[in-house]
Amino acid sequence: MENLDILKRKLERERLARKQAEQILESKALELFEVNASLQKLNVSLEDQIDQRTKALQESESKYRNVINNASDIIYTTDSNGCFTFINPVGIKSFGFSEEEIIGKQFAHFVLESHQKQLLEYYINLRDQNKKNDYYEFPIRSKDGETHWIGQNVNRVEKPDGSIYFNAVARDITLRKITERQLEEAKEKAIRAQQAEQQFLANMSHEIRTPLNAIIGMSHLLKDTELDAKQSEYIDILADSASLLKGLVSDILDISKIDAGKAEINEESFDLIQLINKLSKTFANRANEKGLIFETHIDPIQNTFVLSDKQWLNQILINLIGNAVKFTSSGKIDVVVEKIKEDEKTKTVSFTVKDTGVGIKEEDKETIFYAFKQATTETRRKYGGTGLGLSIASKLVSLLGGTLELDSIEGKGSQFYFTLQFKHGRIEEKNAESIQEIGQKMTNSLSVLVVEDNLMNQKYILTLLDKWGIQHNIANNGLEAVEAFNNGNYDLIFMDLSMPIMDGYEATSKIRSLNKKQIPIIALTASTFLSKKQLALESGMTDFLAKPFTPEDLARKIKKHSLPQYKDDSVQNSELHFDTRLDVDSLNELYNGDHKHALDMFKTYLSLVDDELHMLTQAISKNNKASAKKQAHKIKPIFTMVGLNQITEHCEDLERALDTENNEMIQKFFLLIKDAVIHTKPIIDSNTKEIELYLNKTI
Amino acid sequence: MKGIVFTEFLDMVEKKFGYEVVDQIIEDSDLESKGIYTAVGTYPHSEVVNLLMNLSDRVKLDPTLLLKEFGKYLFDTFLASYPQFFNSVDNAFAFLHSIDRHIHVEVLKLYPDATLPKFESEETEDGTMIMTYKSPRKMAALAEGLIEKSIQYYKEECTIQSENQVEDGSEVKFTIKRIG
Ligand code: HEM
Repeated sequence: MENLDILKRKLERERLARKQAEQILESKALELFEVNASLQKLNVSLEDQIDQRTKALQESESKYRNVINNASDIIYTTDSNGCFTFINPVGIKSFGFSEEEIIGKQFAHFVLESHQKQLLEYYINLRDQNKKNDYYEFPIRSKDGETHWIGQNVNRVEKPDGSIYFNAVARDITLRKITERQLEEAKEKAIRAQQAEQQFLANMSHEIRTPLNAIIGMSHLLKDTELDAKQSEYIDILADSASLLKGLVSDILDISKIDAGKAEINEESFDLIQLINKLSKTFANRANEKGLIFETHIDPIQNTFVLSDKQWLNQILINLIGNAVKFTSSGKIDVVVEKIKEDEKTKTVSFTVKDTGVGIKEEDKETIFYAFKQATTETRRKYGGTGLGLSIASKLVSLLGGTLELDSIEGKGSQFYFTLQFKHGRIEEKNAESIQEIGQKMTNSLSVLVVEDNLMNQKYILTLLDKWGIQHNIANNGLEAVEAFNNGNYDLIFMDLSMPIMDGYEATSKIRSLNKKQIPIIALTASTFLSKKQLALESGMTDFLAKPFTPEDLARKIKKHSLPQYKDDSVQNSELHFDTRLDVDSLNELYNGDHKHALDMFKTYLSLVDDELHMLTQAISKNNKASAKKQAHKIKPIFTMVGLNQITEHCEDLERALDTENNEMIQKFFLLIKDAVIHTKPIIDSNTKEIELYLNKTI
Repeated sequence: MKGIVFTEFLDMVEKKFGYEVVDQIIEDSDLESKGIYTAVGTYPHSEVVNLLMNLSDRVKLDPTLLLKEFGKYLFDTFLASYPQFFNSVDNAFAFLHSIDRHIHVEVLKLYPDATLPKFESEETEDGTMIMTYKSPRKMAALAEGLIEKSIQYYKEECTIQSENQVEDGSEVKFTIKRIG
């Protein structure tokens, strides 16, 4: 009975427990349902949000696509291999291919062959060096075969996964390129025209100067003959007119040279005060003749030597002072030189030329410095001259680093002034002497060859040489000159440049190749253009004498280049003379005036060099590198001792080459040394003799 | 306290002492739940204490000993229901460490209203495991039974020493040493 109760209770408990469990499950199920419902709601709202975002994205995409499609620039993207993945319509138009033909193709496919290499470099740089953005221009060939230029900025873009692609903004710059090329062509044309003009001027100067030279020369000679008063007067007029013409020609030439940027500045050391004094003397006479007072005021300057272009400064002052005298009929002319500043390296000096002349009208002040702008044509008629003086002076002052300025009151006078900064010059002991002195020093043992095709010029030079008692021979062209040189024994050659049959350049090269003796050859040239001088130097000439020249000019050249025994004392007192083809600076430093030492070394060199070179030749031909190297090292210093520093350098090159297996290089340097030694021997030879002669004379 | 503790406890009593005793202790205890338990329900902790005390009275056995036996019994239930917790480790100490760090954490996810003890476990350099039980329900004996069975399960041999850290038994330190 009791057991039955227990069982009943057990069943009852289990039933209730099951019910309880069902209830719990029910409520859990409900909970689950609600959670599910809210999850669903969440889902819907999430989908909504995604929809909205997608729409916004689509909108912005279409916005950008619109921008890209309507952009006036080419916009494209490529993958990391440079293959197109997108290109906008402008791009498609520029390339001239259809979109299908472009997409998937490499950019390189469209670029002209000639630019493939640059293109590759461009992309590799972009890819590897991580260059973010770089502008470059490429020519592409469009479908119709025409070349289009594309200028582009390419961006390297890195995706989150590390891979890269490129996007580019480019522009069809074909039109610009064409314009550029047209401009370039126009520029070239202009340059060619300018060159032609310069050539014309140079030629003209030659054509005019040559006869002018004869006229001036002849009038000089004519003056030395017996003349009656009338003849003398005519000759004076002739000489004056010729000088005026010469002035005009050189003015025009100067202007054109300065304008073409071809005016050279020849810096030399000269005495500034002496230059002023000399000018003043000349112009004081002229001023006094016109009844004018002429005064020069010069500030005391310690070192009066300056480094500048003497010729140009002289010309500036001649033009300014000449004008002052010309345009002043009464009163006074002042030339004022003031020291503004002087320090260790430079001195600054101002120059003023003041007159009490006609003055310059206010409205003319601006144009007065322009070429061919003399105040008025009336002025020109009244005062004469080319009207180029002020323009040249102003340009030359600028060339020397200053500015020519003007103060003037019409009818009262003018004042021109400028300031220049000079480097200090070296003080020289002695200066040029008179022609007479030169003539006296020349002895008739000096022998000169004159090579000149123009008969009048021949006559002019020969008359002067006769007057000075200098032996001479004439050659009518280059060929005759070479023959004459072979047969005769000359100390100096004057050589015209342009001659029939064989010109001066060729004749000079031929004479130099004969290698007999280092005879000075002086070019006679009507051209003052630097290029001609350069050519002359390259062909082996020693110096120039510009036509037309005065007897003094000629005498000075003869004095400068005649052999030591004929040189005057002032020259001999200066530094030991080494051939300019040697390293003169290093030789002067090395021997420092010890001529005997220098002679010793030069002689030693001559006695050694053949054997030493022979030993080197042997070692090289046997391919014995070690001993060749030893020998190269051994002989290296002897070249420096005679100023052949270049050969010393070749020896060093050879030494280095011998350390390698590069037989080509070894041969190259060896031959350089061998050739140089053989070629320079005559120079050393004659220079040795010169030093010897010099020593015999002074001791 | 989760219903599973009650249903398993009464199952054990029925198995060991017969349903008669189950009926008696339910009738003896004045239970709010009237002794109607389902594994998914939640009931006051005091009821399990009540049932245990009445059982102890009835069968004249130490309640601590009974609780420990219940622990051993419960282990088999856990093993049958949650084999994944036992497979994830390969030795007893690792398993014991995992109770607090992993098993009870997962239990709490399943039954957010579960009231679980806190275990702090550490191993000393000589290979001894110290496990400190902390719970206001003071059922360290249940833990001891579970620990013992766990060690057996991994076929290891250990000595287990327990030591009250707090007199009322709410904090007990187990020192478990491997033999051999
Ligand atoms: C698969 C293994 C295990 C599962 C699923 C599990 C699950 C549970 C559950 C559901 C409770 C009841 C909580 C409540 O009723 O609110 C509980 C309590 C408890 N568990 Fe575990 N347990 C496991 C292993 C262990 C082991 C190995 C120990 C031994 C140290 C242990 C010690 C305890 C203790 C002592 C309690 C009683 C509550 C207290 O003292 O506060 N459990 N466990």
